Amino acid sequence: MPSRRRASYIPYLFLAPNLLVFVLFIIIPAIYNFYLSLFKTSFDKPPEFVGLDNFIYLFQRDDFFWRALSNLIVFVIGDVGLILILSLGIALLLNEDIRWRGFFRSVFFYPVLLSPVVVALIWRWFLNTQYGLLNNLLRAFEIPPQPWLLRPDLAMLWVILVHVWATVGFFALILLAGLQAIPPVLYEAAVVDGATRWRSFWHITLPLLAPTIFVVLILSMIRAFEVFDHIYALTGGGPGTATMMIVQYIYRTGFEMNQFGLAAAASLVLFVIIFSLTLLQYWLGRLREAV
Amino acid sequence: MKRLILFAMLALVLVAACAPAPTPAPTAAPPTAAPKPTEAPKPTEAPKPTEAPKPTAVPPTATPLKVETLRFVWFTDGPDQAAIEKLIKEFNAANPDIKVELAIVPFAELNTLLTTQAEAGKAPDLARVTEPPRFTKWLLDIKPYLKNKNFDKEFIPEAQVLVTGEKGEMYGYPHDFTLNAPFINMTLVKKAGLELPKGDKIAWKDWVDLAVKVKKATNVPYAFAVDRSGHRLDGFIQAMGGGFFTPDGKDVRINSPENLKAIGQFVAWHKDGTMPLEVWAGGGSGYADARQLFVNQQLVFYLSGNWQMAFFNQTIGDKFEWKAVPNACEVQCGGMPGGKFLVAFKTTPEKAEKQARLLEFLGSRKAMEQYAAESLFLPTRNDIIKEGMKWPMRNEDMNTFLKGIAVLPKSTYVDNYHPRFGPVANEVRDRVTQAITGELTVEKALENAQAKAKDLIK
Amino acid sequence: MSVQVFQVETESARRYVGRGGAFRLTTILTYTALLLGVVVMFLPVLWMVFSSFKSLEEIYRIPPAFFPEKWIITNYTEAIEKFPFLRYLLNSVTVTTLATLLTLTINSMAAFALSKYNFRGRDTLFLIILGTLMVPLQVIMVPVYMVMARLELVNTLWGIIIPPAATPTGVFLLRQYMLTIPDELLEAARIDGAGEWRIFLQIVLPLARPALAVLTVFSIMWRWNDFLWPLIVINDPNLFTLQLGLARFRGELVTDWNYVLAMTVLTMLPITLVFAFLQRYLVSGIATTGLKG
Repeated sequence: MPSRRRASYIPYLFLAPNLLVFVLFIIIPAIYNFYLSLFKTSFDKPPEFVGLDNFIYLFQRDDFFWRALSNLIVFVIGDVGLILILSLGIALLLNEDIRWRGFFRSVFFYPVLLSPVVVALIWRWFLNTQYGLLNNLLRAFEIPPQPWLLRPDLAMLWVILVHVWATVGFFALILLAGLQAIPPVLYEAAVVDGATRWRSFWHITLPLLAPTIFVVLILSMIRAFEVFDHIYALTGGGPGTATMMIVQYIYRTGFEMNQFGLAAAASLVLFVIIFSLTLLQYWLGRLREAV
Repeated sequence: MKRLILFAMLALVLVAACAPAPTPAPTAAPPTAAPKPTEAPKPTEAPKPTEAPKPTAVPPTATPLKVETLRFVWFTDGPDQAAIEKLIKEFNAANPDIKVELAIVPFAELNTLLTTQAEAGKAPDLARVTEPPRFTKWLLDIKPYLKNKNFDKEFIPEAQVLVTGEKGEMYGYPHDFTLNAPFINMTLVKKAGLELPKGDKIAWKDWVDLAVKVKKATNVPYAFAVDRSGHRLDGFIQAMGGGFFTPDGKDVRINSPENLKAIGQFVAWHKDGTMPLEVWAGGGSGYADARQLFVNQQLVFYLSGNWQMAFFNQTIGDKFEWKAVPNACEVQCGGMPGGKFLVAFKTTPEKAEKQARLLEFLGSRKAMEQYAAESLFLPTRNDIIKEGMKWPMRNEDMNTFLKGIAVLPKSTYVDNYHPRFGPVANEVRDRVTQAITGELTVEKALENAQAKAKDLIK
Repeated sequence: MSVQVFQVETESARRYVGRGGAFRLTTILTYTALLLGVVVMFLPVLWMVFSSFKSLEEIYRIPPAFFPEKWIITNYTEAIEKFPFLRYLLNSVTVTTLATLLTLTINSMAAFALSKYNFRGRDTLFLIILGTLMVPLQVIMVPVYMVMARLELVNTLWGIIIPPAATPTGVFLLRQYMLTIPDELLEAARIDGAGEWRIFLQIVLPLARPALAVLTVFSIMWRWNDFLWPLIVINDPNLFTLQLGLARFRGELVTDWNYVLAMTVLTMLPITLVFAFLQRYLVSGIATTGLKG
């Protein structure tokens, strides 16, 4: 087959432009950043090499770091869990034969268009203890106004809910595109064979949707681990440190405390966590893709 | 054929890299100095702001006129923007070989932006900053380019120290002086039928008790609020003998008994509803102010600083009666000095002379008096402070501030002008927030802050 | 197989809802769920939009009314007066359009290579690309800026067009989608003598249209809302995007609710309109192009 001979360097050519931008603007800076984690920076002296001291400090002496980590785990579980369930549900709903489909699609996707700052503003206004709509609706039911964003546990709850609100449409859309790719003839054949809706879902939809669900799982997880803008604009990590996540910890350590070496160390830890989890899912996913 | 398109696209993405990034040389360590409190400037008649100062020398006409653009990063408290824009316009007109461009950035992003740009050798030419030590290694010594080689002596020495290099380099100067001080809503006080406390030794508790009575009588949400800031908190605890650094400036005393008592009180007021949770607990993770609460008449007593004057003047106007009142004085008087600095960054030798020219203009007596008057700011030039100046309005309040500066204890200067004050204040602020939300006890919060602060000053 | 196995949605072959009339229980449940979704999605935003037409006094009234008692537009007029909305809009549009075109081009090429070829280092490269997702911008801001400075991209619109265009999410998304395109189609074309580039342009891209449409919408949205990066890269006020212009106007911390609300609505408007226009292409019925069975 003549075409095979040309194939050897062709894929590299296709990959090259994208890869070049990655290398220049993400990979090289990231490597520099990780290298920086071995140093202690300061205002007025050049960076001094301290080896693993930053990491030791992080794990042994820094309660902010541990707090951010535990907050993050709670957040990721809540966020990814809700997103998986809701986005699938929404995609299935939108895939149905309904009227004004375009309108409904827009409605669910709409919040994704808003910048994180705008999302935070909208919800801060909505959840405002004195002037917000939510407390006013509750007032009508004789429920006293709650300090939604000022109590640590409530703040965490809302941080998750708001983030889901703002991003679920994104994933629903991805799943919808995946659902659309399933040939309808398969369903028709199943109906002919007497399958119920549930069985069709379980044996046709889910398996064929698997690669797309995999995308949603990985993307939502990575984004959850890296969450920053939404929360920072909504609660600033507060009250206190109740909703502070790792990226905010990194940002604060670097730009407010001016300890860039320590911040770089924390970012390396974050990277290792995300990378390991993704790798794990990749291997698991590949097993299924191979089928 | 199609492959050509592929290669063309590759080329499109590649951008030529020619300019080497300038490597900033590490400069002198920040100086340590023994600050003295300044004397109280006497409020007297002062000349009104006059026309534009005479233009400075224009470069010889032998060389063609090359217009150099100077980028000036600025953040605004409000009305100072118009004041500085006016001065820039005057300068541009008088100096045809220079074009100054003002770039306004949000205060919250100021340090991030400057740090990132400076690290990469793309710092602006000048900037208005609050923490000069952060940028020392990238700043330009303007002394060689100044007409007046003793220019640095014309400013408040305690502040000037922060922009002075180890070998006496001058990186800039303080541009406006600030004092942390409280404001009170007099309309509400009068409505409650009450009077302000009298005498020289009013405690914070006295002020707050009054505010609570007023709040109850007039039904406003909050009695007392303080901006979410370590700097503001420091001014508060100073009245009770507290502070962040030891008197010699070499160590930290965050969990001293005085601090524990003062901050304990601060936290308790949040817990009993005297102070709003929104500001310290809900105000995000950076700086947050409570000025809108005061403007909207939901707050009786507000601890902030004189830089709010112009903003209040503009937004409150006559809607209700308000005034600045003295800081509490218990063990010593409270309050904190502060202010903004103008600094020049190292760029090219051609620009250096022009940067110095601009700074010399803006720091001149006429320019500063005009600026301070229009922004309702306090000046930093020794001559103006000594001879006094008049503002177009609200002179009574401005003089309250001046009196407050006169009684500032030495410990406040040690704290504010310590090179690491910024990060330490941020740490204390965040720890105290943890105490307010109940995450930590006050003791533990201050203990942790003390440990971190010790790390930061190493 | 003579049946077209790969086909984008067409009206006739809708997912079957089930036999029966329009008032089946599932239909009712479906619409109820959808309606609930509309409320949840829209309510907070509507609240904000209505509040933006209120005067400051009304905004701070307790209890607040949903609709303004007195509709005012000064929040908007005063906001617009203060800055050159049109110029910022133009810059935002330029950046968003160019970045999206670039993104579509290079992402699809990369995804094509990763999904349709078997070459040395393919999986490693894919993992590396996935890895770039795991380094958030805040973390590498300073070194990226240093690279940009070296390349003289600072303070240029290209500086905020090129670096974000390589979106790993886009590559990931397109790759997964392209995996579902049957290899037989490509083989058939190769046998017929088509070159790789032609296969890419005329077979793979059209078939990947839904995913490409999705990526288009995402890219527009990402670039439109970019804030922190342009803030650091762009100094020249003439090059400010809408987000930068508004941030500058925002000044210090956000407590002037009346202006903030109006400004927020203004920022949302252009992209809402764009989306309303584009959304039908997301999963629309685009007829297949000359496929052989």
